[in-house]
Amino acid sequence: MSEFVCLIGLLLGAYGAGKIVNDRLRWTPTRSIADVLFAIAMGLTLLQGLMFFLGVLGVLYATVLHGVAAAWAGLALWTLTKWGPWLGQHVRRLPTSLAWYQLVAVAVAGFGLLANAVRALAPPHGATDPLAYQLALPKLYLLSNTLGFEESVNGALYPAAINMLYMLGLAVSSDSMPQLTHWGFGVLCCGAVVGVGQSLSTTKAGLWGAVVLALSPVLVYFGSLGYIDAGLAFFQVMALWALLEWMDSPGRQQLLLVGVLTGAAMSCKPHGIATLGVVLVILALTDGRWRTPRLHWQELALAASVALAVASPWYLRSYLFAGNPVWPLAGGIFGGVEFGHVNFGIPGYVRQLVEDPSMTAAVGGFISGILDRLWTKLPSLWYWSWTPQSWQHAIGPHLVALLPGLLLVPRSRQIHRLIGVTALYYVITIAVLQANPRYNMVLLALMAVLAGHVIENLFSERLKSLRPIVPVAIAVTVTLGAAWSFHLARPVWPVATGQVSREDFLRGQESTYPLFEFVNRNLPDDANILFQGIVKGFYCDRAYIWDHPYQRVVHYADLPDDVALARHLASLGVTHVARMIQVPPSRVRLGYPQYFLDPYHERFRKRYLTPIYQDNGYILFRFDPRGVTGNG
Amino acid sequence: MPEGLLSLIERARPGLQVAVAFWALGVLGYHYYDQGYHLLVAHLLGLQP
Repeated sequence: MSEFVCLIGLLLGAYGAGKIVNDRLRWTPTRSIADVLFAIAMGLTLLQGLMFFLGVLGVLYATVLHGVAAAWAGLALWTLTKWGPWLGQHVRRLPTSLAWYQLVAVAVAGFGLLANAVRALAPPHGATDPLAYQLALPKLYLLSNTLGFEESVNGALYPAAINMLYMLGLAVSSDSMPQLTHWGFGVLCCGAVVGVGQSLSTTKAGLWGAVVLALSPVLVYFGSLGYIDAGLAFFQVMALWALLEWMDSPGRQQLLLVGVLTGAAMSCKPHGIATLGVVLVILALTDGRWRTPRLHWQELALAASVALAVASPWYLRSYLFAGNPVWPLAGGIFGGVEFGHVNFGIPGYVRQLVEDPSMTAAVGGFISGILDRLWTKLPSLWYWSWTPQSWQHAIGPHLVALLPGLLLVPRSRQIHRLIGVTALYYVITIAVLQANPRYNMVLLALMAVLAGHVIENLFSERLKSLRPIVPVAIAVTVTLGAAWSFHLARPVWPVATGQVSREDFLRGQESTYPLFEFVNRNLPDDANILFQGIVKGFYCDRAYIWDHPYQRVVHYADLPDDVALARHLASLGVTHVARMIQVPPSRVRLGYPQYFLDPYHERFRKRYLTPIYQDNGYILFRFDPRGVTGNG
Repeated sequence: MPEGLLSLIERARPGLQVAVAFWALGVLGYHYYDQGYHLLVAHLLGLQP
């Protein structure tokens, strides 16, 4: 539970730091929610930048990180003293004359969010990606004290600003802190929806939007796990909110804020680049009614250059390590360190555009491809609601139920702009960004604001008596959604509250945990382990290399026999091999060897490997090169 | 837009609003039933194993 205190400290410190910067640059929104959220976004961007800087310097030592945490805690206390009374006043003013069903909906959605927080407090388990990348990479950085290049881990050079916060959490709190931070980003997204609603419609519309977003299955399910998508969505919503505010009252200072937040979104994940796309399209389409064309282009260049300046350290890092700013994507253009698989579900025509140097053919293919994809993927929203392929695509029914109402409700110029930005992001999502709602929660947040606007305004004055019908139905569905959150949280309640030890819980939940317990207790600190068939390395406290089929660090096809393999592993400094005894068929189809049935790997095992640990699923070998010297 | 059409739309607006409300209620009701939320609630209340 101490993680909650850490999260509150993180956000208060971010508010304090961001408020200082925003006040100095005269970004001072009049509305309190906007003031708080823009300051938090700025403060978190600063902290992420600081952690990146420390990582590049190679000083990610416990003392340094505890020093950063202590300074941030001091900042949080200062914030509380300086701004606490002001914040308290505004919080007391927030709920403006809510009807009973609105109170019920907000309270029950809050209960659902708390149930999700219980899940976040459990040790990371189950989902693959966090234990293989999002949490595993920060832990590897902590083990090596530097922001190095883990060449065998997918996405090792992706921008990782959110992961920098996770790294600090892992260093000063517990394994659950990153999950709770991600949950906190989900709550911040809901707050941003309230703020955007307040800005463009009404506070009540924003509250309904937040309720709709809080219940969307993709956020409920993934928001409590160690992914980064809710964090990306938060910075994207803030950037687009700043853009909408700029459209209302254009000014250079406001445009700088758009640029900084767009850069912050681009620093979270390559998908954040889509935010820059939206910003540039909107800036280019906005006509010169209130400014000269020259100034207009200057503004476009200003926003783009600020965004690129904020995000560039991440892309520069990738370029310096791998010769490719977006490694391992777009290898056809940038070249760089070889990687066996660059698709990641991106549509073929996008891949062709970035990888085929003959641009004429590529552009032609891109245009026809994008039109074809737009046509086939246009109803994605419908399918995400009714027949999602997985939890990643499950958005729930509220958007499909409510958005048609936009045709009938009163729409201000601001709402029209929001519809435009949302439609543009939807097109980008389905045409370019894998049509995956988990990667694009910002889209759900924007749509949730519009849904909230519909809930508040569906019935005109003539049908005033019917107004509660839809909100009451939403309140009922909120209760059902919260029941699901409660149901998901129930199994982890004992471990989240300390009734069951974290170790016992993990022994039952994570099949690799006993193996890594052995590794962490018995292997020397400088051990270097080759994982064979094992994907989740988070609980391993020693350096490791992952032999998945796409990386090229250990590429069996390039090593003709067991002697060559032994020589190569010796050159990499491998001391042990941890192997999954029976690799599941799904991974074999991906290209993993079935090691114990493979003559090549059997020859290698018999000659160079000595078992030192075995359980039902895994075996650990000591690697003895027997006189073979490394070739590197 | 012609004056007559505008007034027609204005006269139809209440009916359309009711239709959209029914659409929303139908979608929400069917979705939660289809996804088995009634079973979940029964389970949580101890009415079903």
